[in-house]
Amino acid sequence: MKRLLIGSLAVVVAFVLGFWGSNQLPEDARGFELTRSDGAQINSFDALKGQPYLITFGYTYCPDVCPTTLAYLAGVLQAYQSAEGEEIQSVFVSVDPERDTPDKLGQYVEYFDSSIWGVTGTEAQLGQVKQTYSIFFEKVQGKDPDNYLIDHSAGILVMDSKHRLSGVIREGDSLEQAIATIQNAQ
Amino acid sequence: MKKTLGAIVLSAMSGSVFAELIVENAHIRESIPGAPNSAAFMILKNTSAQDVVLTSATSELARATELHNHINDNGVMRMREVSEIVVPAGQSVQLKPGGMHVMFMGLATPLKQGEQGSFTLVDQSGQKYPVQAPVKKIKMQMKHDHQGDHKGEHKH
Repeated sequence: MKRLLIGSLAVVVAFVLGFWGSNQLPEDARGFELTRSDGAQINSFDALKGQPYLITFGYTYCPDVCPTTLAYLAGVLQAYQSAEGEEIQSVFVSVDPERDTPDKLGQYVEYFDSSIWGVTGTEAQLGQVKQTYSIFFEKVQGKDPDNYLIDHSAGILVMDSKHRLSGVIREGDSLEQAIATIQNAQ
Repeated sequence: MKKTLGAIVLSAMSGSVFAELIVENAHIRESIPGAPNSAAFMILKNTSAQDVVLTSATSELARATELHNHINDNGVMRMREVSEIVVPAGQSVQLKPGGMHVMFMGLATPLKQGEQGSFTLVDQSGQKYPVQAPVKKIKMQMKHDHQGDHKGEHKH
């Protein structure tokens, strides 16, 4: 019984730690392999060349939170570039590969900032992403089978050059705060 | 009698002002390429002494129009259809990004900034509140907003 209790406690602690879970993984287990909207297979280690990056999760059918987050991200990217004189790569992972074709995903991210990578993958690849980044997403069936919703983690994760979580940017953060969070990840 | 009815219809049509519910700052989000859904946001002011309970919304803009809310559950955004939005007597309720909104699912055609869209809010008693709202592009929250709308829509 006691062991069970400790076990459950461990699960709760792991849950509360949430995003930070990724830091417990061995280095070669972090990162992702997904398909970019231009059709390229992206291995994050090769593609990001040891640079810090930003990663956020959503889907194009999401009418409110995802556009709001991406519009905010576009502002952060621009502010970062004017402050630092260099770009930081950002990645929007669609957790809805069923409906988000590469083409649609490409058009979607382009609307906000053409530098954002729109990526998605197979269920297995996305399952891996879920674990690696300790995020949550789950389909919610609506009245209309084609119009299901997806609950998903919000916020923008700031990953350092070794693909470890360095910080989280939330939409309420000022651009200055967001830049500071990114600078921390260098 | 006929004249009275005409006057009522007229007052219901002018600027989305109704006897008890005033709809302010209503706007519909420009649709994003590749995305079939959009949302409308606004401030609902109830000037009457009784609560207004909105129970549905209809629109020709999309296949389905629903009242939605967001729940931020420990960093996970859960968007849900809600059965009602209550605007308490004498109070205001804001429908804004990340919170409550009128959701359009399956747009008939993409919505472009500069267009007008209409939808109807319906309350518990079946009373309808038609709303006409401009379509607006999402703000990119730039530090120096040169990319935002250039059509004098900024309110400082």
